[in-house]
Amino acid sequence: MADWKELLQEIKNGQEKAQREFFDRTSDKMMGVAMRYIKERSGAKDCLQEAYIRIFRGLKKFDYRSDEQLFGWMNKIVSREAVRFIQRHKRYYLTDEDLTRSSNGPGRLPDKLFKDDLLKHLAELPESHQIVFNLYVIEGYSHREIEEITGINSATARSYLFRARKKLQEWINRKVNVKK
Amino acid sequence: MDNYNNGMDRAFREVASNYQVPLSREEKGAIWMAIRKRSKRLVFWAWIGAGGAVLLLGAFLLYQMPPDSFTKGGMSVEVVTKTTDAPHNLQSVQGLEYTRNQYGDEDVTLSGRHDDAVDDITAYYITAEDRGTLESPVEADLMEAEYEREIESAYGAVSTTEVHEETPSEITEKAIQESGWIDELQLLSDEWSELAFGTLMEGEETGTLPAILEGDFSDRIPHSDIIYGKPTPLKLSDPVLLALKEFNWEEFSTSQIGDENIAGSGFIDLYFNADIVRNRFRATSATGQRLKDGYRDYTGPWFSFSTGAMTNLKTPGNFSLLAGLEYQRITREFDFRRQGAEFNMKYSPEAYYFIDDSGELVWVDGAVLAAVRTEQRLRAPNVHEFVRIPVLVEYMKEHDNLKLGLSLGIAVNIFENHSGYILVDGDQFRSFESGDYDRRWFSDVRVNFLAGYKLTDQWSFYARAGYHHHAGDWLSTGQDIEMSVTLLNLGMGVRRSF
Repeated sequence: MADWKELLQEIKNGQEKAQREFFDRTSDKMMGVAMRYIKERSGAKDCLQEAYIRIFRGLKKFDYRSDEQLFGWMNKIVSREAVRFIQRHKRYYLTDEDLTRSSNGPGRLPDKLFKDDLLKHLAELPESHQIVFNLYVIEGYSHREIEEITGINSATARSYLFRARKKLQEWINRKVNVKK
Repeated sequence: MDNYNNGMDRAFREVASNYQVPLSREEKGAIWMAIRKRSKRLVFWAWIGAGGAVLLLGAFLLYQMPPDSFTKGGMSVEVVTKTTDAPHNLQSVQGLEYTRNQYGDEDVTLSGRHDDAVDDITAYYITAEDRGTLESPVEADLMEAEYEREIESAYGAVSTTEVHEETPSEITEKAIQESGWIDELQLLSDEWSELAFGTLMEGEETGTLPAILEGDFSDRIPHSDIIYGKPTPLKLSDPVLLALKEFNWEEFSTSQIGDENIAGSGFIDLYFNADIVRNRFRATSATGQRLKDGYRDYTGPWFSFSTGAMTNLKTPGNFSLLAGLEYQRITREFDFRRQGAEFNMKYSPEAYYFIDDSGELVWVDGAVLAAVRTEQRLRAPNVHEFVRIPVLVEYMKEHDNLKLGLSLGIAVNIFENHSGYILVDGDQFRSFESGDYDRRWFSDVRVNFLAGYKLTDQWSFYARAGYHHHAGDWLSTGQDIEMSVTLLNLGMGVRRSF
């Protein structure tokens, strides 16, 4: 199996087999990214299809430096496409809700999280909160970028992020208490 | 709180970075084919867009260009003086000396002739009784001015005045005929006039001599402002779109795609051909035969090229159904030459007087025929442009990287434009009119042989030899002549497979 750099070079040379191999090796992970945004599997697959067209187009100019850089770049493309998909299907409506005040949470993160369940609980959040949380926390977009991608203004996005964190924090607290 | 958030965010990032949702083999296959087809569609439209833009730009540029160019031919000017019964002391005749001097001048203008023309001078005289009216179809202001200037120089202004006062201004044609030299003149006149101004002699002004000398034929040559009506705007719409609709490239959803949907592959050809054009005339009468001879004499070789883009419709096996868009430009030089003459017979005082031994002017009488010989030449490209939709069935056999193919098909016109000139009986020509070269919608039948080499999975290069037979009579002019056109073309192209 060719390493990423070699594979990317073959893709740049126009080899279709290399494209297919690249797709096979990365699609599960990208499907994971898509499904962090889109709950329905069929929707996530449609999103993936659009995202890979952009990925293959972008790969021609992509300068590989590390796996993290490659997957970070792909994650961003898939996440952007997922947001577009959601917007296209009007699955959520963005509203400027009042910014709610944060409550004081626990002072530190529990030593052991129930990691397997983290994303499951993330998926239980309201869709707009989930999107902002994903984009900000996991994909690393700034609030300004999130505004550009989603149309949610920065203040609202901060609010959504706060609420998402608060919900997740409550869930973690419950888990920790149960554990205690 | 920040620390807590940071820790929680990190945990989420860590979990997310390892998070995968496995796709089944079938799901991956379906998504992959959807990606391929979506990519193909994008590339296809990009190519079509680029090709369409090039064609539109080309059509626009051609539309902007003047349909032909008119080249004025070289023109020679000679003045032939004819008299009768030359006096024995010819050398002493001032007028003739003057004329000789003019011929001795190397400068080819009205006032100067080449030396060799001197030998052509024959002096004719008519008697004073026979003097009459001289028809002067061309105003010879320039000649007269030149003569007067020279006469003034030789005799002084008074003599010139006397000459004009004494000299009858016109001589009748009858008088000239009776003089015995008109037959020759008439012969010369008829011959040259027919050659030169056949179209102009029937009640048309022949123009002024200075205009002729300056080579201004603009009022004589049929101009080609309107060749074939206004070119129809280029329409890429209906037939092309109809053909492309066959692609059936609807929005693909992964849920709709299975392996059975992806059999076959598409391609786009871009090609350029250089053509060898052969025409065959069929004359059905003597008139047609004359026209056929005229085309042989007045038209040059054909030049033709065609370029286009084609794409295939999905078919099973090694067969493909191709359709596309093609532009063809066929040119042929129309090089029409006619020689002719403008005549100016005038009463020439120099020829009628000489100074005798006693130093007195003696009236001789006579006439001078000034003949301005001209050559008109019209060189204009006859241009035939076509935008076509070729539809072909192609059989292609591949062996490793080599490809051999044969295609058969037809082409239909969606746009055509013609500019230039056409011959009409009587050794004349006229510009194209609507209906000439009218090919209507059906253009040609064609067969091509292809040999290709696969450069990469996507790209192939190929060479092509073809034979195109244009349907019907190319020269739909209603005359007794038909022209059929066939093209042998050699071309090359690239094929992008998807």
